[in-house]
Amino acid sequence: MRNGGPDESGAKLVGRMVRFALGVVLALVVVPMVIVVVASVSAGSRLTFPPQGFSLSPYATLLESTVIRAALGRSLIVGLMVVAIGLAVGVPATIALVRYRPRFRIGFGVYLLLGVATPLIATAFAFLVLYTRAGVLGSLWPIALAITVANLPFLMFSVASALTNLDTSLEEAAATLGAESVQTFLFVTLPGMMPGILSGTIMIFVLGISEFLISLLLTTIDSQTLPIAIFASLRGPPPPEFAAAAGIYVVLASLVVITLTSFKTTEQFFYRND
Amino acid sequence: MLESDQGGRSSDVPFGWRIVDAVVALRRFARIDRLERLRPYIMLAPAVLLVSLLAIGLLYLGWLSAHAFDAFLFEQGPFSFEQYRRLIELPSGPFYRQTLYRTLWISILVTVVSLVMGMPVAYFIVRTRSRVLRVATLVLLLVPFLMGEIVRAFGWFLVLGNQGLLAWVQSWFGFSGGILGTELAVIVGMMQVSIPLATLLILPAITRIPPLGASPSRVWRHVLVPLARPGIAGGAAVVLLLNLAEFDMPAILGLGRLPFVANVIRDVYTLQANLYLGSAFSLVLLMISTLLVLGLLIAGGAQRRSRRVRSEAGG
Repeated sequence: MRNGGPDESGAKLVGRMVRFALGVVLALVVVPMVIVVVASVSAGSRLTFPPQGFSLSPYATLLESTVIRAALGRSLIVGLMVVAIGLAVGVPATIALVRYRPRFRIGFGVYLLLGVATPLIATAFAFLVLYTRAGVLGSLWPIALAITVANLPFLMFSVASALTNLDTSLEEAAATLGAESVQTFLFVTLPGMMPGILSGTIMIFVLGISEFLISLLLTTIDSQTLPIAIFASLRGPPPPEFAAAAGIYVVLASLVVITLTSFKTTEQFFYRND
Repeated sequence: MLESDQGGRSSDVPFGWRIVDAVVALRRFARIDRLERLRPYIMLAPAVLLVSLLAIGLLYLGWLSAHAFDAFLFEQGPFSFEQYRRLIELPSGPFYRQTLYRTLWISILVTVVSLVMGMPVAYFIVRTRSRVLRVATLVLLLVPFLMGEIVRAFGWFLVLGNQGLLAWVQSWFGFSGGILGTELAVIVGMMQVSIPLATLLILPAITRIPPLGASPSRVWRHVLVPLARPGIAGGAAVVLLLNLAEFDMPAILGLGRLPFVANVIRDVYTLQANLYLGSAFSLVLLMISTLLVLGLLIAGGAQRRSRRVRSEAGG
């Protein structure tokens, strides 16, 4: 504060730059999202601007389209499979890494990150050659396995951050009071981890139903998931029912994010002091 | 409830408790404590097995990439470096190389711009006094990440397309000419998820730095950027990895004229049904991305170590 003049103008400049960056970034993020939603409630047989009027007919057409309905159903099945596999595999592994501190803990942790450290196209192609060899292309469960591998760390981070915030003295107190380890886990540890498990579950479910690149290589014509069906529609101006399908994703993602940020753990996660 | 429990009538004990008692008894009977030392490894085993699917897939990828492929007989040929040679030599070598360069320069450019734009946004989120603004910004940044690659591309296609929003706005001003099919369109499309991701990854690093009294520009230059450096390097690595595998934006906003490695790998598979060449190209991308990511992480970590050494030397 020695020389108030330059400092003050410097502060103003930084403030202006921050506001400028914020404006640009929010525009980049928001404009396409809003356009998808607007397009999904527009009248007309092809999507053009300006919209030819308000209409819910894209959603009606979507419900009538057997192709989209089937693709949506497959995406939901894949999403549920990803959640089931992810929970069964990810929660015990996270507890083991955070609580039991096994030997080679760092090694295990890094190995489990393999799905994130590999570029998605290489992951997709690795599963493609593996599944071609095994002859399981065309089923949904192999796709779910591959998507789980690529997204497992998101679930594990979420569970781990809940678990590290959990006070171990509660578990010690339960044990002191005579609780068996099973009881301690079920009635003390598990409820404490629940917010982390829940937000992780929601996150991998949404990532599972919106996953694109892995599904693109692993689906056949008869096992297309919804993102692949949307991709196939983008040859020219897309038919409105696909805007409705995309609109569902935008609305769903927004709802999920609002739910997640209302959990306290999410805010703690971004403001963690580790 | 409590009284009836003390009364000892077993039918009043909640059902869940009896299950827990049964589990406890079963554990005692099976003397599961013997396995106590093995427990963390047993708990890790399913996850390790699952990820091993990918590891095996990658190894198989390497095996295939080192073999010749007979496209007429549709058979695996002998061990050879034919696939890697085809990536370099004529007739198609220049095309693959150009694809790789394009993927690299656009990915690196998008990553750098995302970090430059993400720093001030992260700074805003951490420093703003309004909780509403902070949460609203966080929400808006997270949504593109969860709505999926294809829906992001879909949105941009509606904005930049021939009869899209941009063309409509341009028509007010009496000029035309879309950017669909150009590098700019691809870059803009990739920014929608890269900037939010960079911001969210830098956020923890900036949160840790307490507000200081010095002038903001000096705080930025001398404190924020150097201290957040490991966070920035980590963020850069994640964003770069995501960008290197980009598929939708080149396919849809680039109209297929500016293919990235992912697009070409998919074409090699669908048009030539050649798993061997696809494997080789996938591995090349994997190796380059691993080198870049390791370089970034070392650059971020080395800085921290040298500072620690300096501060220890200084007392």
